[in-house]
Amino acid sequence: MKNKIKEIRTKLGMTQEELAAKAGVRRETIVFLEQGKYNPSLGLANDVAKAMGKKIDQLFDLD
Amino acid sequence: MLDIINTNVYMQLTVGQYRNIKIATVVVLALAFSQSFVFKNFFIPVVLLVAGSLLLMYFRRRVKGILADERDYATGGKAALLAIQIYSWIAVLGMLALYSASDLNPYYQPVAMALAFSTTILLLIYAVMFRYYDKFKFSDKKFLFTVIVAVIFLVAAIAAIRTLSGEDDWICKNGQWVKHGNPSFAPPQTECK
Repeated sequence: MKNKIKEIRTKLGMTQEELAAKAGVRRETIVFLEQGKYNPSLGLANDVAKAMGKKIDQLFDLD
Repeated sequence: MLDIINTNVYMQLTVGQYRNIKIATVVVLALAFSQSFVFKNFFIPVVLLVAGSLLLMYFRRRVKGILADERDYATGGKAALLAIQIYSWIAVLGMLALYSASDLNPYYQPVAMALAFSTTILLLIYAVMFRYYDKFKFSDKKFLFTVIVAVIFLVAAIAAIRTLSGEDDWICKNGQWVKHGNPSFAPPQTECK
């Protein structure tokens, strides 16, 4: 699944470590998410979106 | 490793400190197990195993940070399933090979049986755990605890009955190996004193 996590995180000036801590996951998971190598559960997608102050559909390409 | 010494047990641990403690615990347990075989004392390693597990559970609760997330659990699930399948195949093929060759060496038979029973128990536990996660809530830890305790108790009871009853075995009597029950294997090759 394509996503804009890296793009938005960079715009917000957040590090992967900070985003991981806010979303309650390990940094490696953020790396995998950004590279599109891991499809998160709805709960995790929501946590990541919340941690960035966005909604799920702003981060993930759901089409 | 110095991190471990500097760690105040009443304070929170970092993920790195917890990992160091885990490695140190495994090293101590490995040493205890190897020495237990040398000195034929199996009580101390069992006590250390329980103590080590409790210690790690205690420290795990004090970790500040994420030790594992949903990706780890998903990866762990896939790896565990694959490991079970690989072990089952190896054990079943090994069991068949050893059982068919038990005429050449009677000691192959108990090894084959151990492989067969271990595979059966492993698949049984997997089936119970799968059923649990398929039917019940993930957060229902009380039920999971009950199932785990019941399975451990059942396995321990069967093992104890098989071990303590001493049926179908060879017993050393007056310098000779004597049949007890109806053992399906040849008497031990070791000297009977």
